[in-house]
Amino acid sequence: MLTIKDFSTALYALSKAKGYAATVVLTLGLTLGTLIAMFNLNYQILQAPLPYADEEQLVVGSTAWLDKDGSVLYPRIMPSGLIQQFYDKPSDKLSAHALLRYQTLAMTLRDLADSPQVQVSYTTPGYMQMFQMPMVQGRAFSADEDIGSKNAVAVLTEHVWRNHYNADPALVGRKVRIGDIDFTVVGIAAAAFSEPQLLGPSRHTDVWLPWDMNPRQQNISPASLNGWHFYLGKLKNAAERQAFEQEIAPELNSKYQDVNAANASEAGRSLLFSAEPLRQLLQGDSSGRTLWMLAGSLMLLLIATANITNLLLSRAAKQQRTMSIQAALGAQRHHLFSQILAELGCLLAAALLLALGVAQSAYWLLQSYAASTLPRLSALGFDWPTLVFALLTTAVMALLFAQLISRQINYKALQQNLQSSGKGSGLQISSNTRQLLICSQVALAALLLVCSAQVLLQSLDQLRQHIGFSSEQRFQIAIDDTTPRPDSSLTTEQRQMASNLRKDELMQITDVFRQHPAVQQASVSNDAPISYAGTFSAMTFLPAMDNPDHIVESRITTTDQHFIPLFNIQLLQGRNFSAQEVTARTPVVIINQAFAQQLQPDGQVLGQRLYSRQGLAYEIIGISANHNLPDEWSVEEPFRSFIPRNLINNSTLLLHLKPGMHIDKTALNQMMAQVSLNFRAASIYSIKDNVDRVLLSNYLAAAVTTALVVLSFVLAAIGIYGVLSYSVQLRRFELGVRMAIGARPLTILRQLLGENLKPVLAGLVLAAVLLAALWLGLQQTTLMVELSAGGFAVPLLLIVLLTVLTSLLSVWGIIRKPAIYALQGQ
Amino acid sequence: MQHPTILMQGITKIFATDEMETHALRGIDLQISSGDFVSICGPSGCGKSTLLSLLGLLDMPSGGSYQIEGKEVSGLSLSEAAFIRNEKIGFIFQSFNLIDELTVFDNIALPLRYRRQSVAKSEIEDRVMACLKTVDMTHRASHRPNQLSGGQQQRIAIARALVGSPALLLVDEPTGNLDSRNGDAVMDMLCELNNNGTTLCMVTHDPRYADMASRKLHLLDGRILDSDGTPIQQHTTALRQVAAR
Repeated sequence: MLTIKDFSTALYALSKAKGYAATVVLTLGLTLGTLIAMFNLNYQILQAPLPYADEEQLVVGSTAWLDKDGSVLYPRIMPSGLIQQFYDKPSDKLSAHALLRYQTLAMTLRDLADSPQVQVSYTTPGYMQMFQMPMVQGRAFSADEDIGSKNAVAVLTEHVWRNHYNADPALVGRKVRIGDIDFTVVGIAAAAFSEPQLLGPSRHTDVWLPWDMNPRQQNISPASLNGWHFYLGKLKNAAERQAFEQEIAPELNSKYQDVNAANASEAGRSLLFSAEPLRQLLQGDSSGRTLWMLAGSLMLLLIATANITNLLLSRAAKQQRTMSIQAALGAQRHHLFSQILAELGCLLAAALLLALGVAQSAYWLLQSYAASTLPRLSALGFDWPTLVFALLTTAVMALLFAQLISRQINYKALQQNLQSSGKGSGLQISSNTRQLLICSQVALAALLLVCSAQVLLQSLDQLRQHIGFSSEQRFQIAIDDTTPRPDSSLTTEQRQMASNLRKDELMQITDVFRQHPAVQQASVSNDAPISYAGTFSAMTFLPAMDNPDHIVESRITTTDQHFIPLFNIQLLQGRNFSAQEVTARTPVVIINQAFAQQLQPDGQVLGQRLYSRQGLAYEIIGISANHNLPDEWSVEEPFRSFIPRNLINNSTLLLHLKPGMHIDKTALNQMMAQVSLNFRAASIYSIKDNVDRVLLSNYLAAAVTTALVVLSFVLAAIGIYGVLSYSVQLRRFELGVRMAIGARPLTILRQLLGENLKPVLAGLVLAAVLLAALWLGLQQTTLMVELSAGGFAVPLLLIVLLTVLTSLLSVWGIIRKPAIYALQGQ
Repeated sequence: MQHPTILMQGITKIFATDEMETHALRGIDLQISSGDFVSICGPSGCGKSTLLSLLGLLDMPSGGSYQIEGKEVSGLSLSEAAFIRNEKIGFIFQSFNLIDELTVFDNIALPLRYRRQSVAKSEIEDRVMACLKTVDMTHRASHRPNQLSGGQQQRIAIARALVGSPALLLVDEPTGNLDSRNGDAVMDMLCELNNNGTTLCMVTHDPRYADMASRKLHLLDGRILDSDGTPIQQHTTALRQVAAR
C-alpha cells in the first residue's frame, strides 16, 4: 500500500534527477496528450450521442441517379418535385418528416446597408421539431408555415441576430429583406442549436425560410434532379429503416420513369432511394481519417513507452546501491515495487496534467484549422469518457512500467550486492531485453517515419504542383441576384431571351468594372475555376448524336472571352472565344485535355462536335490544360468544358485586380447599380483562399505528418540513445579493459557500432515486414497510396545515421578519456 | 647503449577538482631495466594504483618525463598510447578482468586483434595456444570465463598479458582475489616468467609476495621511499645521466 511518505520520498528523489523527470514527463505528456485528443475526436465522431432525441430513428433520404448499366451517375441527388408528393402523403413508418434544401445561390440581408451574405436553407416545420431547435426569441416554424401556405417568415440564427441586428429583441415580428422578398422574423434559433450539417462541416445555415419560398421549387419540373435537397424522416421504429426504403424506392423510381417516358436519352436510367441513418451521413468518410490519426498517436505513445522503459531501467540501474541497502535491511520485493510505483505515480500524474493541456491545444488546433473538414469538432472537450480514458491509460501505464522494472530487478543479486563491496552487478538489464527494446523501438519508429514520410511527400507533391490556373489577386464576387426568373409558363424562346438579357446586363457590369483603376480584367461566368462554396455545374454531352447511350458528364463553365486569359488557363490547342462568338452565343466549346483524351486517346479533337441533350451541336475550338486541384468531388481531374452560351441559374463575377490594389463591396455595388439594381455583391472571395481551402487537407496532412516525423524521430533519438547509453554504462568497465589491452578509441567505437547496428537492422527488417503487411491491407481498402522511394530511403537512412550518432554520443564520454577512468567507473 | 625498459623522471600526478588539488604522485623517479622484477608496496592511498596506471599509459602524468625503451610517452594522444600499450605492455589485474562474452581463446587473442598491423589468423592461433600452454590451460580454450575458477581465470589473464610479447608486465594485486594456494601458484608462474626474461612490475599489499621481487619499492604519500623510510635520492643523479645519454 502506498503511503504519503512514499510519495514525498519519490518527489525528493525526482528533484535530484530533474533532467530525467523532465524527459519522462515531456515525452509522456506530449504523446499521451495527442492520444487523448485523438481518442476524443474518434469518440465524438463514432460513438458520442448526437444532440437529438431518438437519434437512431433519424434518417436522411436522398436518391442515387443510376445509369443504364447500374453505375452511379450522381449520388445524393433528389427529384425535389417528386419527393414533395411523398411529403404530402407520408409513410406510416414515420413519426415526423421534413424537406430541406440548401440554397446554392448567394443571398444577402438587403435591409441592411452592408447587405451581408447569409447562407439560406429552405425547410418545413418538421425539421425544427425533429432536431429540437432551441429558440432564444420567438418560435420555430409552425404548421401554418408548412408547404402550400406561402408564408414569408424566417428563423435567424443567434449569430446573425447578434452580429447584424445587435441582438435587438424587437426583431421578432419585424421584416428582413432576403433577395427580393420581405420575410417576417418569427424566431431566433439559439446558438446552442447543433445544426445537422448534411453537406459537411463547412456548410452552416444562417437563415431558415419556408420550403415554399424556395425559388427553384416554384418553377421546377418533376423530372428535374437537384443536389443539396434532402428528405428527412424520423422513423417510429429504427428497425424499419430498410422497410421504409423499400416502400419509397420503387414508387419514386416508377414516378421518375413516368415523367421521363418521353425523353429517349433517359431511357434505362433510374433512381434509387435510400434512407441513410443520420449518424452515418454526418460521419461521412471522416472516420477513416480520424482512425488513422488515432493509430498514429497510439504508435507515438508506443514509441514513447519504449523510450520511457529504457529511461526507467537506466534509472533503476542507477538506484542499485540504494536498493541494495534496502534489500540488505530486509526490504521485500513488494517494498521496492511500491517505491518504484510511487515515483512513477508522481511522474505520470505530472505527465497526465501536461497531456490534458496538450489535448486542449490539439482541440483548439483542430477547431481552428480542420473545422471545414472534420465533423463535430465543436463537441471536443473533456467529457467523462475522455477523462476516464485518460486516467485509465495513465494508471495502466504506471502499473505496467512498475511491473516491468520490478521484474527486471534481480532481487537475489541485490541482496548479495553489498556483500561484494558494491562491485557486483545486482541490477543489470539483460542483454536480450536491451536488444529487444532497441529492435522494437526502431521498428515502431521506422514504421511511423516511413508512413508519415509517404503521406508528407504525397502532400508536398500536391502542394508543389501548379494548379493549372492563376489565383493571385483573382477574386470571385458572389452576386445576390433578384432578377425575376423566367416563369415556366413562358415559351422556351421567351425564357431564352430573359436569360440573354440577364447575361447582357452582367456583361455590361464587367465593362463597367474594367473602367475601374484597380481592375486588371473582369469576367462573368456561372462558377469560378474553384468556387468558394465548392459547387460546380455539370452538363451532359453526347459525342455522337446517333448514339444516345454514349454520354460524357462534364463540369461546365458558361462564360465570356475574358475568363480563360483572366485565370491564365493554358490553351494547348485551338483558340479562345471571340467577342463575336460570345455576343452571338455561338455554339462553340473549349474542353480540357482530360475530356479531349476521353474523346480521342491522342486528344486531337479540334473541329469535332459535341451535342447537348437537345441536339445542339457545339464545335470544339480549343483544348485547355488540365487543372491539378483534386477536390472533395473528384480526386482525379474531371472533364471540363467552357461555353459562351447562357449562364445557368447561378452567376458570378470574376475580377483580376492590379498588384497591390483592393476593391470593396460598396464600390462594386455602386458600379453594379449603374447597370441594374437587381444585382448586389454578396461577398468577395479570394480565389487564392478558395484554392487554399481545397488544399487545406494537403496542408493539414503535411503539417500533421511533419509533426509526426519530427516527433517520432526525436522520440526514437531519445529512446535509442537511452538504451545505447545505458548499455555503454553497463559495459564501461569492460570497455576500460579493452582499452587497457590496447584498443584504440576508434576500435571501441567501431565495435560498438557493429553491435548496435544488429538490433537496429533487425528492427528495420521487422518494420519492413509490418509495412508490407500494411501495404497488403491497404490494397483491400479504397485508400489511394502513392509510394515514393525517397519516403522509404530517407527515414531508414535517418535511423541508421541516428544509431551512428547516438553510438558515438553514448561512448564519447569513455573513449575521449584515458582508460583508467573507465576502469575506475568514472 | 641499450635503453632501460622504463625510465621515469620527476613524474607528478595531480587530481584537481573545482575546490581542491590532490597530489597523488610527487616527483617519482624510477628506472626498470629489462628482466627486472620490481614490486611496489605501500599503504592504501599512497599512490600505488596511480603509479601503475601511469606506467601502463592508462593515464597521463601531470608533469615529468616518462620513456619506454627510450621513447618519450608522456604526451601521447589516446590513440598512440593505445598502440604503445598494446605492443609494449601487458596487464594482469586483481579481478582478472576477462570479458564474459568471449571464450578463453578470444580473450587471450584480443590484444593481437587490436594490433596496428593486423596479425594473421594462423599466427594468432599459434600464439594463443602457446600462451595457453605456458599457463597450462590448453584444455579450457573454448570455455567462457564464468566456467573457470578464480585461479584459472587469473592464469588466463596472465596468458592474455603475455600473448603480445610485451616489454613489461604490469601486475596489480595478482593474488588479491585468490586463496593462498591459487595465489602461490600464480606467483610461481610470475617468477618463472621473470626467470625466463620477462620484465615485471607488481603492486601488492602482501609482503610475502613483495619479497619475491628482485627490487622492492615502498611508496608513501606519492613518493618512493628508501628502505629506511626516506625518499630515494641516490638514484636520481644516475637516472638523469641515463636520460641525458
